[in-house]
Amino acid sequence: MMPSYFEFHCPVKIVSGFKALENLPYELKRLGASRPLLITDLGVSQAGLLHVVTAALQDSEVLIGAVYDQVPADSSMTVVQEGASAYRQGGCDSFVALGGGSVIDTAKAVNILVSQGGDDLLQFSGADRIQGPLRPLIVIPTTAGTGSEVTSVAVIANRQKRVKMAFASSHLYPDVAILDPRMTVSLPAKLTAATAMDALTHAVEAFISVQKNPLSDAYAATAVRLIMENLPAVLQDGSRAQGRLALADAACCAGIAFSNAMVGMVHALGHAAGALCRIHHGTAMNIFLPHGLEYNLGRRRQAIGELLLPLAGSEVYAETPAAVRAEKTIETLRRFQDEVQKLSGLPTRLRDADVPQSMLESIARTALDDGALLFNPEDMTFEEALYVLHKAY
Amino acid sequence: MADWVGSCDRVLEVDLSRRTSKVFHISSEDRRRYLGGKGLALRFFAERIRPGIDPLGQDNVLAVFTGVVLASGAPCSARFSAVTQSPLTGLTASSSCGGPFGIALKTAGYEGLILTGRCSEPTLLEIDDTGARFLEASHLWGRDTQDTQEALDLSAKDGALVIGPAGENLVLFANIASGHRFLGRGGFGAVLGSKKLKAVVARGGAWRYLPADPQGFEKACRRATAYIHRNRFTGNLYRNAGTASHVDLCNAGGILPIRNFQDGCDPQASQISGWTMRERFGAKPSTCRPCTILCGHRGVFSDQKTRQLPEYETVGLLGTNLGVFDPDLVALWNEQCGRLGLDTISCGGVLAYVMEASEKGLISSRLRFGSPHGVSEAIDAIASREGLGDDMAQGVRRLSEKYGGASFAIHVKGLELPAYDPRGSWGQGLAYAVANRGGCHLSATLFPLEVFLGFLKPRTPKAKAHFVRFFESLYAAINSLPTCLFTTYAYLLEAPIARLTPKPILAWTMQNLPAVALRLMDLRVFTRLFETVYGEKLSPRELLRAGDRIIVLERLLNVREGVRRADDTLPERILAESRPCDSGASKPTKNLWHRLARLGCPEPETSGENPPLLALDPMLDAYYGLRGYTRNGIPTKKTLRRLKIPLGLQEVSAVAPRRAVREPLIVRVFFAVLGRALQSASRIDHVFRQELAPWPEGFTVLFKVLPFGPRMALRVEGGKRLRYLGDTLSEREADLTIGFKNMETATRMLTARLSTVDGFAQNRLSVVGDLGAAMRLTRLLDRIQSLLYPEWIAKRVVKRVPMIPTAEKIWKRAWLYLVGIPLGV
Ligand code: SF4
Ligand SMILES: [Fe+2]
Repeated sequence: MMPSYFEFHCPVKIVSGFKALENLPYELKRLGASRPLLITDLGVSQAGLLHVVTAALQDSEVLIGAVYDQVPADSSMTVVQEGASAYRQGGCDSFVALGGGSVIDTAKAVNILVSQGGDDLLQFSGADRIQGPLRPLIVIPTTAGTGSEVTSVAVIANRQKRVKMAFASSHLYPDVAILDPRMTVSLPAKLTAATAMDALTHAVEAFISVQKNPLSDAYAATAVRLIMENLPAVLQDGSRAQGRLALADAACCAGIAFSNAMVGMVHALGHAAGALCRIHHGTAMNIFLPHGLEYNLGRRRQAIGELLLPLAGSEVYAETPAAVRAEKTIETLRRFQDEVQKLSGLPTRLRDADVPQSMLESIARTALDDGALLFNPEDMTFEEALYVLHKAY
Repeated sequence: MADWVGSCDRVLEVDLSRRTSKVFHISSEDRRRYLGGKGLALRFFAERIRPGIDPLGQDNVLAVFTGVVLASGAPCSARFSAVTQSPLTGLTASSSCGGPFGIALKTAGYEGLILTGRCSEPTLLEIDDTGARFLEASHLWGRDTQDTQEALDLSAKDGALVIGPAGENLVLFANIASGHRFLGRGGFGAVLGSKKLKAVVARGGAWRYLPADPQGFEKACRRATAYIHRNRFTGNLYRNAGTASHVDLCNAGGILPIRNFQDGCDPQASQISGWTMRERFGAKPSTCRPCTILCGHRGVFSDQKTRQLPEYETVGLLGTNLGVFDPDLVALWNEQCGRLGLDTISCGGVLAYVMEASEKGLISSRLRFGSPHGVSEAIDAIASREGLGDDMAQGVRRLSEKYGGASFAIHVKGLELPAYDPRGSWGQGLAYAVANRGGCHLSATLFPLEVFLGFLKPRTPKAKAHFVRFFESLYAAINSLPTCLFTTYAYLLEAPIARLTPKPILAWTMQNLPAVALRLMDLRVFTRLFETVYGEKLSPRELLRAGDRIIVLERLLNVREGVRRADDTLPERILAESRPCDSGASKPTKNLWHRLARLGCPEPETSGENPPLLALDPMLDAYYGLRGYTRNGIPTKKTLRRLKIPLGLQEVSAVAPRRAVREPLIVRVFFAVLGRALQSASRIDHVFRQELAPWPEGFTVLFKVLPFGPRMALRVEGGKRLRYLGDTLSEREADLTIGFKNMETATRMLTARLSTVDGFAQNRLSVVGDLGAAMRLTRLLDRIQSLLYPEWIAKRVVKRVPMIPTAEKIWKRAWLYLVGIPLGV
């Protein structure tokens, strides 16, 4: 299906593979930066990843202006402000973000503050509130999932108002994303599985999004294939560098895909569940993904059927009659999830993820106001959302 | 002594570099198109000026023109005009002055004087009926304006243009003095200083001017005089208490600038009003000559010295805006500025900026609001450009570029604002924003209508563009006749039609049918004065058209210097901050009459605490439309052709896109339908009520076609109902902005050819604000479309058409179409 019109944008330079990190000084120089603020979290710095980065910078023109390693798993306004003052005190001129989604989002938000001036992050929250270009930002993801390294959004918690503030602007794209297998080897199996399932959801939802287009489809299909081929192996043996790299590339592809073909109801439900029950985003994705596909079967039967090719490979695809491919896709996905669950213990039902049944109504209500719903092919009412939640319980 | 009928039509052009001069004649075509005064000065200036020149270099041109009515003996007929490239704004500046130079120049046998090039030594230019002479002037260099004029040995028939030390030192807001009147704004003094001309002396009296139709002229003068005597402003307020009588009116209306426009009124203001000064110091007329209104006065101050009583602008900018309420001080500083040759408005603006910047720690100086300490020294330092004075001499814009604080740098296009705060007079805000010379109140004055006379509501964008356009053109024409702008009060308001119509009807017509109201304005006093002196017909239409031509030509010159819509704006403080005096603004009563009068004309409510922010954009849109500019503020080719503006300048508009007419109109109609439908549905539909329940009160959604409109706003009001606000809101008040990226998208979406979903999906909309709110809004949009459209259309535009019982659907749809949309309830 060709859309009558679409837009596609990804200005991020991707540097991926063996010893990719050694290119960091070159990339900084290219961007005219020489004094980056290094943003990371304690986990990463304790795992010794920081040393890999500093080693890459030795004997270069780059000086690390400051290191801020206090980013929690769930970043907040105060963290961003601390980061901004570290940047200012260190006389920095750019950012290197080393970590998962939270670290990258924090780096983006700090960048907003220091580039736009002032201390009030709130005034930039929402879509398109940022004027003019920001300082150079290079990201080095240490998880392979969120895709933050190639997206134009950042999410930061506002503790006072108890909401998550989203920032979206084309100025938020990082300048460079460096994918180095050394950065993800230490990730534990369950987290590896969760982040990979998040990436898989990005790809699948992008593939059926109302914004789907030939370019995003290509990225999404590639991401699906890479994850299916590599995740089980990596879960069995976490030290496989090649598999790790493939997952990082897949997350990156999926990120590009959903930046241009927005995710839909699975994410809407997942965001709501995450905000209300603190369930891990990747886990939530894993739980809701098949239900999301089933829900959209009516409007996206063909697209879902096409997913069978990257999910199950060409042989299964060819054997399956076109009319039942969509169902086969969902079935394949479920089987894959079971396999992953066996290997990593990632739950596939809400009840196994410590979500009390009493919360379902509020999750449904919150999900209805999620911007992602706009891009879901099928409309969703409160009752329908509740129905899906019950099924996933 | 010889006589001319009407005018001599002669222009003296002096090349200061080559020390040559020549005389040429004004063609009858130019006379018809530009009348005289400002119009002709501009026309010949435009022909000689190249874009991008240095206003203080040798390429700048200074044109000084008198005109037909000047020296005719008509009321207030001493005002001449000058045009040059302003060093302060870098744009075309014009100014009018009632000093003796005008009549002297005309009676020396020249209607205009054009100065090009520059002298190498301090020079005195002397003009009489035999031509121009260059005299040495180093003995005058360094003297102040009054000393210099005394040294010039002027007879009663002579007049001079002189600069003071400020002009010599190229202070960017230096003025030119003639007698005790000034070519005040825009830095004319610096231009003369850059040409090393200390003074231009016209030795007049060689010629006399007779009207072409003496009897007609006499009659016109009699009528004019009677109107002036009868009018409250010209015959009482100005005559007795000068323009400083505005103080009380502006204070009451909340448009009197206090402490660099931080507030709009102050209980101490009456200490410094024209009436108080009259009481304390006496008020003997000291005016332009001849004059029938007599707005200028002298008085004897506390130190027993006689001085000119300060005008309103001076009282405002050198007084209240500095937090100073002592008329003795203001008069003293006024005199000091006058002698040094400094524009008091810009000077006061600069002082206020420095005071605020000092308080905020951006500049170190001891100037503080409310304190006279250091003010006089600062004025001297500006004129001599010593120390901080050197930066202050560059005006507020350049100061804020150097020291920061752009949000409280009160200027438009580099020209400091006069003493009327547009937050209490939106029409004046539009006038400031679009005035060709920058922040100027004499381009079009709306504050009398909005604040003094109550004809127009001050805080609405409605009808303002019509009046700004009208007054701009009228004033340009009046300055080209020329006569004094203040006669407008009398000639317009005392004409039978305005005087005999009951005021509420007049006000209603002006507010709601501005085009009709303006068509009914009687301009015949102006045209009769011109006709009877010059002997050629001039209809009111032609008068306004000449004004249009002048304004558009001036705009075109500015466009050539890069001025666009983005420059037609107001200081950040004016657009974004509200003032302490605003919070007390009383809610207007809403009786049936008001509601009826308001039908179909949405307006933001003064919601509780803060009044709405100044909505400049809707006024700009309407103004550009009336003027025949593109939405980016460039005169279209069609406009230039219609006004017969000289060809050479059209190069600017060669790239100017045309102005779309049809599609914006369609979009506006559909916006209105959609907005009213949403408003109405929020009152009758339970789904709306449910959906709106969690919306915060006061939440404002703006729909806008990028980049320049049309726009439509909705606000959640008490009781969680939506209120349709149309295009009356400042874009800064929007919490959520849904921008259609182009007109095409807007038309397609509004006419149900592109669904809301696809609009979002295809990125054809730009959403500024909270995405969750956008999500909630789409549900309302889906609902309203299902209510409005028959199912087969609704199916195309919403993801899933909800089941609505047939009976409910029918009555709701009928209500929306028959009541909600047409009546706006
Ligand atoms: S009214 Fe005032 S400004 Fe006008 S001519 Fe008379 S003195 Fe001059
Ligand atoms: Fe995700």
